[in-house]
Formats: sequence, structure tokens, C-alpha cells
Amino acid sequence: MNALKNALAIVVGVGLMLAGSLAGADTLQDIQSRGTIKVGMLVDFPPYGLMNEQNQPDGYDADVAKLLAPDLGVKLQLVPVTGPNRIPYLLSGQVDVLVASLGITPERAKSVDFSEPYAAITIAVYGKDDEKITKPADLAGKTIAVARASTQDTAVTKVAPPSATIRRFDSDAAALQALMSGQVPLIGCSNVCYLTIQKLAPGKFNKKFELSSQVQGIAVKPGEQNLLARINQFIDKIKANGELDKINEKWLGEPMPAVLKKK
Amino acid sequence: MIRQFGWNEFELLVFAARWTIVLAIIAFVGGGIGGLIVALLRTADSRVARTAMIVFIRVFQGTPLLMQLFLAYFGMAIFGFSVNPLIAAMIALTAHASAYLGEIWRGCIQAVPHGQTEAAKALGLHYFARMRHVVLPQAARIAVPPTVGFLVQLLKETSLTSIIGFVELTRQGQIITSVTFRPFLVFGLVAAIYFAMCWPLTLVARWMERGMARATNR
Amino acid sequence: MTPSVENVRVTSRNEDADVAVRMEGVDKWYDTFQALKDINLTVASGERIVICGPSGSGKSTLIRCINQLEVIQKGRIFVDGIELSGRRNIAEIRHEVGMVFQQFNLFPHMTVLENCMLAPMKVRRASRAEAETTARRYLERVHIPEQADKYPAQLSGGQQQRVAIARALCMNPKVMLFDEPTSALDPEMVKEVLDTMIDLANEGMTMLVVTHEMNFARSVANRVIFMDRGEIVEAAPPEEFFNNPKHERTRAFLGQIS
Repeated sequence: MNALKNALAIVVGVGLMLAGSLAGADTLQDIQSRGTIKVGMLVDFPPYGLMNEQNQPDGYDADVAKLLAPDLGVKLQLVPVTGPNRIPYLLSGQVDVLVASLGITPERAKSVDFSEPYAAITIAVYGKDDEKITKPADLAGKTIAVARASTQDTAVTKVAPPSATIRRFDSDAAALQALMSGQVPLIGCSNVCYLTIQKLAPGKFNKKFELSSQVQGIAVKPGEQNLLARINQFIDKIKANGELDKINEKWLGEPMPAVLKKK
Repeated sequence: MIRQFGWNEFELLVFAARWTIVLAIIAFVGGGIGGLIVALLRTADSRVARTAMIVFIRVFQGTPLLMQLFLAYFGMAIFGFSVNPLIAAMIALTAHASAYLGEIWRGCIQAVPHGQTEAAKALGLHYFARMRHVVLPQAARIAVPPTVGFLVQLLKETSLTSIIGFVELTRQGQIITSVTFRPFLVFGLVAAIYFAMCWPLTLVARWMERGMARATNR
Repeated sequence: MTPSVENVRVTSRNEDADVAVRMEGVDKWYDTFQALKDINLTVASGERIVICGPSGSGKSTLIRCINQLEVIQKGRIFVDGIELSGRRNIAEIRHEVGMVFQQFNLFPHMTVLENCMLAPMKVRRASRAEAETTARRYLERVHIPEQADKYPAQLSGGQQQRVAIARALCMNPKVMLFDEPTSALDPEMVKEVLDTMIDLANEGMTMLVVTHEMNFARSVANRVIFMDRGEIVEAAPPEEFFNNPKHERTRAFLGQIS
């Protein structure tokens, strides 16, 4: 993927060279005069982006996009993109915006502009219903499973008291297997992983406390101030009127995480 | 959200394989024509033509197909040429295949003994008649195995077009895996479908080789 | 140097019909190596010239210049009254000049008949039927009509070389060049090829033959040319050449090969 990064650098470089000519363009106006918004989304990252049984793009991101288009008063065109090519798609103008589970990181913020977060992947401690645990200190004397060298491993190791036993497995799947079979009562994993847990053993495990979260934003080309402002207005609206909560319930099985609420 | 792998998913894979076939045909035809031109110019008397082809071959063999697809699609878009992904794929696959086939066929043309060209010249045959009737038929015979080898590889390489948005066989496999969590089943089927597409190519190659061997070794 | 033209002469469209090939002050270089030095040679129509000399003396290069398989750097060459002028009349000249190679150079993917038909059809625009009639006639003349439908690899070396001669003759050339036509043959096959060439000579063909077959030179040639280091050292009728060579280098060469 190094070569891809180089190519990306070329594209970004050329993009900057042409920034002068682009400055005049206003994507929001383009979208409105065209009557369609082209939204790039992943289709291999369930539950955020996936292809449904009818082979149509679906998921959390698709539902957000389906609200965004009518809010702008235009039709929606979903464009499937992939992890490696989503930013080139945006910068080269093949899509207007990305609702593509793009985690907001300082590195990415150099090449695209992010909206306020509209989704989050949360790392949390989950466990059996009867485990009375609400904070890191409660882990004392307990055994907790994590995937080795993962974000959750780092997070759990940081907060767990010395008396806690951290069992490290090769993958989330292996850690999950240990939880299912009762070898460990607790697990540190993402909310996406928790969905699988609920699918396999509905109602037996619940969330104890959050460790960290990676928030995701809608991305636009750098300098698209009008479009970005309009999108932020939209995100505020769906957070306030409960529609984003519904999407979270539908795809992640829980209300909108706290991290999305704070401004 | 987790879906069973069923007939519907299998059909999706087979439908996606149609893209693989279309892209492969584009690459074969474009590369075949382009490759012949490259090979002929590469073996031409003109130093300018030879040098130009060496540069062309170096550039397109020395850069990954993924980059060529990427630049043909996104690069052109940056410069304000909104290209259809199919056109971009056509350009990149043709250039890529032309460079490789051109170099393979150059070797085959040069493997034909020089005396053949001299005899044809001495008989007064002009360049195209010499190539068409004397050199290329002899070059073609040794060209079949490496050409088919490359085409089989090229058919599989069409999966790289997913970078510019094509949902062909491999990409569809990835998408289906992401919702069914059955990677071994899905990619096993993907491999089987690729095999079903490549196998006939090798059969054709063997048949052609036998035919040509008969024509010269009778 | 009186060419004796005793046989039927091929008619030429040029009034200067007596001269088939003329070379004037020809120099040929391979990078820094000079392969031909100031070659002056006039070959009359119907004349048979044998060129001999040690290897690397330029004898093959000389005849290859006549049909422009080699490009010269200096001097002029006329074939049938037409001056060679690079690319422009290259095809025209090659129609008139047939060539037979040491390694036969038959086209292996074509039958004997197809070998003979290709150039008449593609160059002379003859119909298939015409080309086939011509091809069969010449195969008859080189005494292998029965091999017409075989592939070259199925023939002996001597047969292959006779096919090569027939193939060249199918273009109805005015001049035939032979570049060591028997050097790649097993000894028992040399005679059949030489006999074919003698037949051709008797029919009045203008021939330039690079060969070491001194008996052939003695019996067929009008003139024998000895070359060494890119120069024509001596040129004389065979009797004089073999019995009374003037030049020291000729004597040394004849001493080595006899």
C-alpha cells in the first residue's frame, strides 16, 4: 500500500496545485444545481457499510446518507468505495462527500475536512449480566479477555488494577470464544464485536464501561466551507431529533454513544 | 446483520464474474493489438521507434497496474477530465498488457533466425508481407505458451480494477465475506470460478500449440 | 577481361543490356572495420563469376551489397542499368536479383510449393494458379517435383538447397547470387546442387557465386575473382587464374586449398 500512498500524495499534490481553480468551485452549489448528491460509502464494513440481500448498499452510513440527501433537497446517489480509494474518490471529485466510516485523525485532517462526528466505534468492557462492574477499579481480582496488541489491549492494560488478570488472545474471535465458553467472565472489545456477542448469546452479556472511542466524520474536499457548514447543521439536527439514535439502535443495538453527544 | 451464505450470494459471485470476463476481454483485445504494434516497432529499423517503445515498456512494466488504473481514473479527474471508469480501465489495462505482450512477442520475433528475414528480403517481399507470411507465423508458435501464461495472470489481475470502483469477482467476494463471515467458503468459490475461467485458456493454448506443431513438424 | 557470352542472353529493357551488374568504387564499413575497399567490378549479362578468397575477405559482403542486404558507405552499384539508391528502389532491384544462401533459409512453416509460390504471389501479384504452375515448373527443373507438398525439414540438405534455387528462380530474376551454396552440405550432396547450378549456367543465367569449389570454377566460370582483406586482388578467366596466377596472395591461397 506504500505505492498507493505515493500515488495519493501525487494526487493530493496536483490537487493543491489546482487549488486556485478549485477555490472558485462550490460543491454545495454544484450538488443543488445537479439535484443529486454523490455519497461515497464502504460496502465491506458492516454494520456501517454493507451490501444487503438485494445487493444494494446498506448499513449505518447508508441510513445517514439517506437522511442527508432529502435534507439538502436533492436525490441520493450512493457510490461504493473501498478503504484505500475513498479519499482519492473524494479529492478527485468522483464523489461529493464521504459517509464512509472515516475515523477523524489528525493525519487525515491534512487531506480532507471533517464534519462533526456522526458515528463512533467504542471500545468498552463487556461481561456477564451478573458481574457488578461499572469502573476500572472494579476489575480488581477479575480475569478479562482481549485481542493481543489491539487498541482494547492497550486501553485495558492502562486502566486495569494490578490484581486483574489480562488474558491475551490472538484475535477478537478467539477472545470472544473464551467469553462464550465461560473461560473468562469479561472481555474488552469494540461495539461491533459486541454485536456478534449479542447475536450468538442474546441477553447474556452487557456493557460495563467505555474505555475509549474513535469518532467518525463526514468528509468533504478541503476548503468546502459552505458544504461543511450545511452538513454540520444536518448532523446537529439528526442528533437532536432522535433520528441518529434510531440508526444506532437499528445497526448497533444501543443508543447513540455519549461521545457523540458532547459538542 | 450476519447473513447466511445461500444461493443468492452464489449468484452475486457469478454475476460479478461477468465483470471479470468483460475486463479480461478488454485487456486481451487491447493488449493484443497494442502488443503487436509495440513488438513490431520494438524490432523496427527506426531507432526512434525502438527507443520510444523501450521507454513505453519500461514505464508500464516498471509501475504497478494498480497505479496505472489509479492515475488513469483519479489522475485524469483531477485535471478536469471526468473519465468513465470503464474507459480508464480500458486505457490502463491496454497499456499494461501492450507493454508485457509487446516485450514477450519482441523476444519471439527475434528468436526467428535472421536468415529468414534475409531470404524474404532477397525475394523482394516488403516489410508487411515479410512479417505477415514469414516472421510472425514462426514467432507465433513459440509465443503461445508465454502469451497464455501472461493472459491467465492478466485475467486474475483484473481484480485490481476494484480500486476504481469495479465490483468484479474478487471484490464481490470481499463484500460477501464481510456480511456472511464465511471467508473459506466464499474465497474457495471465488478461486473455483477463477479456475473455471483460466482452465479453458490453457486448453486452447495446448490445442493451438499442437496445431502449430503439426504444421511445422509433419 | 573479355566476357564470353555464348548462351542465350536474357533480354533487358535497357540498351546497356550487356552489363548486368556494375560496382564503382564501393567501400563498406562495419563500424571501424572496412569490409570492402574500392571495389570496381562489371559483370556482363550471362557472365558467370566465381568469387573466392579466405574467410573474412569480403566476398560474401560483396554479393550481399548487390541486393542491398548490406548498405554501402561509398561508391555506386548498378543492377540492370538501374542505380541502387537506398530505400526507394530496393524492391525493384530485389525483383531482378535472386539469392541462394549457405543455410538454405527455406521457410520451415510452409511446404516446398508454398515456399516457391509466396514471392510471386506477394511481390509479382501472380494468381495462385500462375504461381503454382511456375513453382512446379522450376521444381521440375531442379529435379524434385515429387517433393512439392513436403515441408523443408523432411528433405535432405541437398534437396533443400535445390528448393532454395527453385524458389529464387520463380521470381524470374536476371541475376543469381550464390553465397557459399554448398558449404553447409554433406559431401555426397554437393554434386546434386552443383549440377543444378551448371544447368542454370548453361541456360545463360548471370551468376555470381561465392564458393570454394574450384572444379566448379574451372568448368563453369567465365572469370574467377580472388578477394583478400576487402579488395579484389585478381580477376582472370579460370585457365589463366589457376595456371598462371599473377599475384603472390593468389598463389598462396591456391596453394592452401589445392
